[in-house]
Amino acid sequence: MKILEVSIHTQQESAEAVSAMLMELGAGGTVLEEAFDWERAKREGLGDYFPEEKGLQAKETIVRGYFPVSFLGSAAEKKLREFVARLPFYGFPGGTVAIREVDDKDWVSSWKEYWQPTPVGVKLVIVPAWYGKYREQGRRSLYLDPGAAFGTGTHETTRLCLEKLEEIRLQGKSVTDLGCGSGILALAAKLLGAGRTVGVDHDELAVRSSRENAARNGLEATFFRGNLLEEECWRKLPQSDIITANLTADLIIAISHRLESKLLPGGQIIASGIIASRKEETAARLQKCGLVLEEEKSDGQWTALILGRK
Amino acid sequence: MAKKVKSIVKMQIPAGKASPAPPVGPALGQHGVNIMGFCKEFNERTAHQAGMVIPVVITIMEDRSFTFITKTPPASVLLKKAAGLDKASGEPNRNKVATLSRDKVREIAELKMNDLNANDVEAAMRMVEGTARSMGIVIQG
Repeated sequence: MKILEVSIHTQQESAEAVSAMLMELGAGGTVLEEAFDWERAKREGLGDYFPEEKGLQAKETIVRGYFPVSFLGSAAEKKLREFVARLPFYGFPGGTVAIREVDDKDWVSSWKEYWQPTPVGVKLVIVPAWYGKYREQGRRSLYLDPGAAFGTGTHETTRLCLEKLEEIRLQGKSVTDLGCGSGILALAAKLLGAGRTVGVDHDELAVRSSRENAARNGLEATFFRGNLLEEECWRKLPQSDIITANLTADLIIAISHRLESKLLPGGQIIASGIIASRKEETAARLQKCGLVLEEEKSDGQWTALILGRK
Repeated sequence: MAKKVKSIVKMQIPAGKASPAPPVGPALGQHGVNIMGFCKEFNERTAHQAGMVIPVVITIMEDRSFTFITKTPPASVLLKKAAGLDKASGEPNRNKVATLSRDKVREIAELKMNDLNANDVEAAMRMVEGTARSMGIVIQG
């Protein structure tokens, strides 16, 4: 599919106003390209080593927005051109508009080419499905095509869960995975010896991706579509020894009162996807719902809470 | 470990609404960044600011890992909020939609000074005033 890349070449002072106008006209966001102030970036602690300066002069800025092809010749295009022509009138440096057609690629997949087999913990290696056969001594390979679903094992929230699953003696234990995404957690549990395994996600694409990944690895697990905020979904979920919930702090809090009833005695919940600033609040809420905090794992600004039944 | 920066990408995205579609897709995809990973983290961090546009600065490292910081909402968003507007004027030269005091402009300029790269409050105020005029907001006082 073709889309339009609309670029306004102007100066830094005008950038915010131009960006605001692009969004008023329907751009879902904007990119601001400028001569980056590396000294300032260093002061702000963004990094230690920086690349060579690129082509733009100091203060020069290009603001980009993306529009459907129908933008050409529309009233919106006319408004944008008028607006840019009038920038000096508002006290801003002027600018020029450039519009070109670009391919709207499959952006979700475009980064795949950079993705390599990723060892996790001590027992697993996550291998991109398009990579071909891959073996690493002492590790079991889990082949995944994450598609549009979240869960490649490269994000901290997923890795924290995987590392915990490796520590648990999973042999024959039942597992429920809430928000299964690519199916990575359910399938890793299965690969590590888990018994009956169920995954649920509200996104149909995720359910499909999970099923495909299960088949790809020759693993048996049940995945279904369900909304964790609805009663019906919980009626369908069995009780399990292990529950993984790699969600968000908000969602974990919203379902906190339901978790205990789905956990078998002696079982454990791995609640992940919790940003550091929401950790205390989430832990407090879960403990109010009949659960006991057993362990906390952190990586960067993400935390996973491991809980059992009272 | 020393952080080796590959690139820095600046964007403005509605809070809680990052998706792999443009502009996020092309801006990050060309650097090999896990786009879904960024979207999830951005949406999680900005969920409480729904309705606001959030400037974000993404630092991409040589190993394609990334970090990002969010900044104060753009002057245009703060101006709309101050004036109680849902939408700016589509024809700011003809159609004036609100009036704001110069004190309010100063307040916004002070809040935004650091992000605007302005040398002093007066320079920041000139930028905020310009933005206001470009949205059909009249400044008085």
